[in-house]
Amino acid sequence: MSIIPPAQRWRKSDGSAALESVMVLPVVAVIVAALVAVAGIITDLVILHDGARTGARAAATTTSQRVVVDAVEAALPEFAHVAVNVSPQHRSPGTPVTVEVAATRSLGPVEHTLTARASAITEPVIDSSWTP
Amino acid sequence: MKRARNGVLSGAEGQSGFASLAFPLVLWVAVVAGVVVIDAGAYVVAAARAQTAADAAALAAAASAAPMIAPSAQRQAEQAAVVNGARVEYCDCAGGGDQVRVEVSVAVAGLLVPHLGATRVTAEATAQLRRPAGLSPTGGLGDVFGSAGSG
Repeated sequence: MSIIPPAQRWRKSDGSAALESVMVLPVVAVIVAALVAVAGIITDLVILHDGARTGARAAATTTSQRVVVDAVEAALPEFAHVAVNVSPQHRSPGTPVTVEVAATRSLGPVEHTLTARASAITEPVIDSSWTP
Repeated sequence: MKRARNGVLSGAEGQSGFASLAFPLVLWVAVVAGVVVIDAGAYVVAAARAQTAADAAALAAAASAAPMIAPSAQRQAEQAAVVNGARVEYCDCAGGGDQVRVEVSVAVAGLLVPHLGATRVTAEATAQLRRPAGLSPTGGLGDVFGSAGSG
């Protein structure tokens, strides 16, 4: 059995910790980025849901589709383009109306579409001059 | 990992194997953080949905006091909650009054939170029927406005 002198031992393992750190750090960076992305998606989802709620409220008090779309767009300034779907288009007092809002967000090279839906009961007196 | 004869890690030897120790630790922390983020997100989204349902239910119940709507306030509140994927837990929809208070709940879809007892999240809303001046409480086509707040 040969005894390695201390100075030679240092040379042998010198930099191994730094090399291993370099191997681990990208993994940590990817994980942190993924968590931040998921948190961003959840935030977008909540904002989108708020827009859908505003749209449902507008739909319950008006007959105009344009007013509903305007109300949703005004509630969602964070999104460049939102698709708004109101069903049914012809509503009568006491019946449910559903507003579905969809928006696209890009996550690096990947694009994903988020949707939110809210419903309300059409109110007895519906008016086309609703203001949010 | 090697230990020196006196039990203290020697400088370079103590550093070797850092990745083999750090990698599982990083993975474990990532899994825990992922579960926390997903569960917190699911709870927040469910809370937003519950508030939407509570607002809609309270407004529907208040609107049912108008003469054009035949079903009772309770039924209107339940219908509004159901179309929003919620369940009415409590409805202070006593006839005669202009104000209703509704509490609804929505199921939480998470990885761990539902197993820890937080299966549903509740929200509360209050709505008040305001009739235009000059009309009797039981007549006319009153406009319905709602005021809702979380409880």
